[in-house]
Amino acid sequence: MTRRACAAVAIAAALLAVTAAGCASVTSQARSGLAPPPPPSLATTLETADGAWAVTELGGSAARHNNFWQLFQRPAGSTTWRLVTPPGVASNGGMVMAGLGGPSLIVGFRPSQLLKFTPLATTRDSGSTWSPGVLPADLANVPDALAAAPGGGRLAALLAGGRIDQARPGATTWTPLTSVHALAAAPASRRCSPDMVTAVSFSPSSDPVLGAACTRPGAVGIFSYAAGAWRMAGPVLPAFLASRQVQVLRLTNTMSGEAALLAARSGRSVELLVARTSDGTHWTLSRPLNLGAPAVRASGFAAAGSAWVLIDNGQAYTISGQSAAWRRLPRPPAATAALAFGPAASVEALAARGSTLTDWELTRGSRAWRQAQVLLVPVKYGSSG
Amino acid sequence: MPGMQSGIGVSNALIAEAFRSALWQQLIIVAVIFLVLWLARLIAVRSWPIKRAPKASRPAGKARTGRPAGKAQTGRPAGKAQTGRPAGKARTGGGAQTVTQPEPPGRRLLRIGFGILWIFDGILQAQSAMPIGLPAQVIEPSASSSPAWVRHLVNWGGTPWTYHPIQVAAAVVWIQIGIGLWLLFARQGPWARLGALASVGWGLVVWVFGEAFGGIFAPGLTWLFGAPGAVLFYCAAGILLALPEHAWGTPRLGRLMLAGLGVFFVGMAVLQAWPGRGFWQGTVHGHPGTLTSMIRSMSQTPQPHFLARIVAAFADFTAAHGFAVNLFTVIALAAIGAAFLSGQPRLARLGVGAALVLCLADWLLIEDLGFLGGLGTDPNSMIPMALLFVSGYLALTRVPAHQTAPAPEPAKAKAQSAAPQTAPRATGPRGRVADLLQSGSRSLATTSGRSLAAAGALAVVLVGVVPSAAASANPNADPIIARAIGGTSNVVNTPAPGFSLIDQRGSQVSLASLRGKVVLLTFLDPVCTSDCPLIGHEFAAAARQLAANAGQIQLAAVVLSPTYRSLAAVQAFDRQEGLSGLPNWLYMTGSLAQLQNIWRAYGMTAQDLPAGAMALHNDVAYVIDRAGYVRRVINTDPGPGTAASQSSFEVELTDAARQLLGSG
Repeated sequence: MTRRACAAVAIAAALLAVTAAGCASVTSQARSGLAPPPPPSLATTLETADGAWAVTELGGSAARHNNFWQLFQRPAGSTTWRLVTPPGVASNGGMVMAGLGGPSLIVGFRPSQLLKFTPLATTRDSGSTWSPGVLPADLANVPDALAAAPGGGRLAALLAGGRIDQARPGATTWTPLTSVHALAAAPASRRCSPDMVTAVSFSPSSDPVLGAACTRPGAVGIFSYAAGAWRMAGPVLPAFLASRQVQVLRLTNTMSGEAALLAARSGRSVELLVARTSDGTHWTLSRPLNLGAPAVRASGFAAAGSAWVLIDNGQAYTISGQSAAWRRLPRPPAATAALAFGPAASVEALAARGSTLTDWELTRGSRAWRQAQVLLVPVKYGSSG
Repeated sequence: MPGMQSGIGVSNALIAEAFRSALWQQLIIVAVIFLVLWLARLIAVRSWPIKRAPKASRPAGKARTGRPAGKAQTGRPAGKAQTGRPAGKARTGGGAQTVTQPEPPGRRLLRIGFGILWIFDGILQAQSAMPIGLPAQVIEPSASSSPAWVRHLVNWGGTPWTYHPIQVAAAVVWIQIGIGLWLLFARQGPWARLGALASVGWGLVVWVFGEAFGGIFAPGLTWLFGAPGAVLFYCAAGILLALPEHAWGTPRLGRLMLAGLGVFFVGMAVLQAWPGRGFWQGTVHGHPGTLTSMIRSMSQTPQPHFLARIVAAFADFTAAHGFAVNLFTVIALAAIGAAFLSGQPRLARLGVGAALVLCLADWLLIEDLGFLGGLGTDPNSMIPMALLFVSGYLALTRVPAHQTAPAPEPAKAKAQSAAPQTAPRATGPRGRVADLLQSGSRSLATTSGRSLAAAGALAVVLVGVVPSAAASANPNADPIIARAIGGTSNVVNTPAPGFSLIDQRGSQVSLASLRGKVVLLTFLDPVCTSDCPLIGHEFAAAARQLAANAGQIQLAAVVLSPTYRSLAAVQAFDRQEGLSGLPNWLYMTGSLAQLQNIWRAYGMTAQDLPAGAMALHNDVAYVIDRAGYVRRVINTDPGPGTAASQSSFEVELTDAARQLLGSG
């Protein structure tokens, strides 16, 4: 073989190897642009006149179906939480709750593994006993996917595919109310152009109310349904937020009306606001809480309209029902999944780790969390495998 | 995309026993085939004695290094053929013809070497863990880091294995042993080339579906770990063996073989040297580098302790001196490649020596012999590669001398051929049969033993191919998978406890009202997240299989949840599993007291558990005959519920129903 041929062959071999290296290497191009923000966790608390409820995730790996969502209840005036998770259904997919007034609550078990519909459970005695029900669809993965009209009459459910169904008392038959596509096509939503419904609620007059993520800046996607039509019913944003896209993170009834937690985004920057109304028309907005890039990990409202948020970076903030300003709390203990408002203006942090729920209390004026209760939960690892 | 898991442990006793039994049966068939062939030939030879052709004369001098005949070599007596055998003794497959040249040593090395390798690989395939372990623990992981299209292809090809693990695993044993025997028996001629092509074909099948294209589309490709796939060398050998004999008659083939291998070695050197692939570092930020991790994982394979220690020690050495190990590898590969590319016999010899040492070291220290651990399928790439480059060197340097057969005398020309005396021809159909038998016998008598043995080897391959092809044509999985998971069903003959419940439509149904039909009865929790949806799916699939007998079969389930037993829950489950539209499906519920009585009567348990766990329950199906007697009790625990296990359970249910239908 001549020298030239040898060289040619060697070059060919080198090219072959380069090609093989190129085929075999795994490269990923960083995507330009922002990924849509993840929805807040299902972990949340709900305060009623008869006490407080908390949904948190306990157990182990979700990938191995060893995570189990639990429901806890703390009677009014008490400082002790108890486990009241409804029996009979695997809770690996998450739980969503809605108050029915008084000691009543309805819970939806988000489907997991091969279960494709949503078992429901209703209690009328603060979780001591439960009645089963069925929502023959997949509940959306947001904490406000289930809502009950004041007085516990009608129910509304936000489904995973963007449809909203409603049911009469008893929750035996569900019928479609609307969908995200129908809402987007409605004239009232032109200013918002929603691409996602994120929360469902009822107004004090028992009209269905939806929260959405607007694709057009400067609009708040809160819609109420009355007289057969949807109308945009959210607050007007101040001028300095006119260029931001707004997503409704939470939407709920309070003792004094409705309340919503809004996230106004611009690039990587997020401002959180609480909006409140007593008549469904006139809203008040809190001062914005500038988060920068981090996302809201969990959030909740109290009966009087106070709100709390847990941020991805471990920080926690509250805002009282009448105040316009956010208050930063001392950093909550590790593994805090949700906050709750306790008696005497105290705040509780519910830390969930493995099979243990630890209740930490921050009393008014204090700067340190105090362990108040440790609850061992009999998690049945492997039962869903 | 269904995985290649069947959900059964690799050492499942039922599967292992069935596999062993299948292999033994097929071994007997193989033995009978060879015995019949041997006896037939023995009888034929005695019936048709053959005049053997005279031995061919040898030319003066020999061409040891490919030089033209006539250039005498010192120190060797003239006339001795390179192969050490007197010339003319080799026979082709076509009869007692004279051979023009002995088999070239390079070719012989390839043929015998790869013949033995195929047989060894076939024997490895007979390990008891293969039916379940190979797709789940070898094939699927090897494809896991390849692109999705490769995984899809490998999955598609592996589905027959997971559906019919016994038949396909046994097939691979006999196909590989058969190909090996074929290469060993058929030395030259059309039979040999056919065997070589079979080796290429099967090698490609293994390379694509068994090795996921040798991992060339996955990251971490390295010569050290067998790139581009050991079986590709088998294919290369097969192509070389399929070449006409005259291609081996000059050094050109050897030069080409070494040149090709040279390109390969240089390419692998460049790949090994390529920055950013992790091979230059023994450790990275305190963690084992790419090569160190690979070697450590090999040392953890089940194997003799002393071997594991050696490999682990080398892993530690690599962790500490990764740069040096990689540098040595790159230089060695490049130097060997250059030596092969030079085409000079002396340099090639040096290259072969160095390559042999490198291959042996890699085979021991990195590939860890390749076949240990219970699921090893072959000794990896170093031995096949070594056979190729040694064969290439032999083809370059040792070309056999040409030999010619003596010109036959015209009068004896016909007598030279294997022409036994012909019996007088009979007439009519019987005569035609007799003629056929006669000519067949004559052919047998004149066919060489090697050709007949090669035909036997082909039959061995068919012993593997035919049952596997027949099984693979069945889209339903083998019911043995279901039995391996749930155990063998119990055969009983007891009256089925009666019940009266409400079905999914709100109508009253009693077991007595189903008399006259075969009833497949199970118990399902409508809000179960794992087993019950799978069982429901299997029942739906069985219903479709039994559609022709829909009027005589009733598939039924009773709610198995103390809490979620409403009609709404039952209907939601039916919609979820596609059972709503089945005409012969009943999903029944009732009051808690009614249900508890029925559960007790049928040995079922259902208990709500706290803290978000689903209800605890067992999984059983009852096959009830037309007279209302329970005839089989099937454990329907679906295990992980893979596509193969679901299909298998569906077949078990269907077979049970059909048996009762057939028995009236």
